[in-house]
Amino acid sequence: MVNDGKFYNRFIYFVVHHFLEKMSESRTISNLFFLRKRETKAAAAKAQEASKEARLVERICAGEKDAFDELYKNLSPMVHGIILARVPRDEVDDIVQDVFISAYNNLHKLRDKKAVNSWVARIARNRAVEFYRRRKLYDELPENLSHKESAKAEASEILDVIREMPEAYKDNLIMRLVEGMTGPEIAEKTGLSHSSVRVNLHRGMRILRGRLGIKE
Amino acid sequence: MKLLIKHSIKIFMLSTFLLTAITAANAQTARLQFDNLKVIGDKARDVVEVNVDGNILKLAKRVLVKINDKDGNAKKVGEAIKDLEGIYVRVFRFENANEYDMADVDSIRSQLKNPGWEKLANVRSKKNNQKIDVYTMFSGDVMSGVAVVISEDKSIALVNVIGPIDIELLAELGGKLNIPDMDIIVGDGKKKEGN
Amino acid sequence: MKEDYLWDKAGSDPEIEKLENTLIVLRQKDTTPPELPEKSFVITKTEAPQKRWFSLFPMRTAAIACVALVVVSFSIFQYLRIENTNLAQKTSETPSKKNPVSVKNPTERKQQVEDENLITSQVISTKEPKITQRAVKLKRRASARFRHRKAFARNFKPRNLAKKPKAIKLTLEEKEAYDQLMKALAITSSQLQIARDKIRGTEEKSVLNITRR
Repeated sequence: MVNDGKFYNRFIYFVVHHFLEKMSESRTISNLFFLRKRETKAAAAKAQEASKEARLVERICAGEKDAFDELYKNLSPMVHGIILARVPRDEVDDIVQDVFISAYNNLHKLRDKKAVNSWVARIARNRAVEFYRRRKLYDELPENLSHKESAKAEASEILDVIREMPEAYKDNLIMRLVEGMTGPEIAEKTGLSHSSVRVNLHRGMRILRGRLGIKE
Repeated sequence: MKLLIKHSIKIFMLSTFLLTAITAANAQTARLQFDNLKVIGDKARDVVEVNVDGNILKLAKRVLVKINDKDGNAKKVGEAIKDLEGIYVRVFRFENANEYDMADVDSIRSQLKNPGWEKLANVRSKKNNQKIDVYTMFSGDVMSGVAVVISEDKSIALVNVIGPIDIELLAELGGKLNIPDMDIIVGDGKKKEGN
Repeated sequence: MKEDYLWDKAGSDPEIEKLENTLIVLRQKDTTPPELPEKSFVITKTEAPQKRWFSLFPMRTAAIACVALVVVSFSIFQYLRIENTNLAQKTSETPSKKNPVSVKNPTERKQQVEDENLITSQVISTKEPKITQRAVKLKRRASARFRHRKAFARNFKPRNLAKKPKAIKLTLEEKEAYDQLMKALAITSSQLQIARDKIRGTEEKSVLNITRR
């Protein structure tokens, strides 16, 4: 190596500059130099919703009944859809009520108040699993499920097909087709990203069409 | 807290890397490059090339500690070179005058014009076309290198010392630095006489 | 677009609409919130955890901590390096066991020995008052013997001054390394001497020229 003091300075400058360039691609260097990251509109909206949920939880924790009613109104379609995907129809309403009472009782334990939606969704899924654990095998089936002529029978058949799908697809499909929620609403309520919900709906719908024999 | 730890690790790695780079850069500047001297070596009648650094230097310092000669020169030498990092010597002797190209030697001298080197002595004599240059380099208050370039009609001598060295003491000991007369047991225990 | 209808009900898709109409019977009908239990525990508003000073400025704190760590470790490294060289120096300066310790001032040394005895006896008396007189006497005899030995060593003049140097054990690598070093140092010192003599010669000439004028 040539003994040139300038060469070493240039070398060090090159290495540091290159290193910093690489680092600047990650979040770290932008925070290091206090540069603000550009936020997309969706992310901004999400952040705003999250803070709204957090405020709602704080009001419930403070004892406001209206706040709880508002929470119920926001999340009950999602919870109903999750329970409906797993549990017999006649048990769904009772379990939905149990889920919200359980959420109310344990709301003070929630650390991240912004994630209340996904937390309630998790309670719903756990309660559905618990239902099957508690239920005995020799319990009699309710009678109204045996009527095939009624509209409910056709709906039940489609529901059975949806229930056989993977969890991510069936939850989103039921929320969309049964509860009438739109894709953005499903994303907002469940805490999933828009792209995830879109993929779940699209793939779930393709499987459902295939199984029901519907041509695209 | 996790964020703090994550950032700390990244900054620590960056600063360690920078410090190492800077230290390495600073450490190497006292070393002269003798690559151009191959041309001179081909033309010379006698060539002496000595490189003492790294493990060889450590071993030699250890030997100096063991020696306890009556003059105490070994101890003095040990003191003079205790922090030494390397010595590089090239001596070329020619059959006739002006057999080498002065430009090759001047390329070594040009390295001494780099920042960091300070001129200690500079003598030009028309007799035998003698040119003597003695340069030192300091890192703060500590000497980090010495360079001696002596060129004449029929000989060239280059000495590059890396690390602090007592020049005065070494000059004083000139001529007395013969290998002391001592019995040395080497390797398999066979006794050899000293040089 | 069909996909748009599936996503946000934009446009139309007859098949999906048919499915929606079929499945609407399964939709949640009762939207009355449940009655909250009366005897629930008191839910108090939890305060936000106090932000510690380093969580406010994580990056700055991290940067300062890392720089401090690097500086401290570097200084410790340098300190250890200096200590090692000092240790090596001390090791080289340690006199051999067989060489007698030179005594500069005999009277001072005598006084020192006597002081030591005094201190020793004082220490004995303060620390261990129960030591018998016999132990004290033995201690004094030992110190007296030591004094005699010192005086003998001082007065002793060895007959044979030219001692044969002790054989030094070296490995082949050590011998070669030593030879290389001595060669390098010999050349270095000779060149430095040439330079020094030349400089001195030049200086003397210039001084002579000045005085002649």
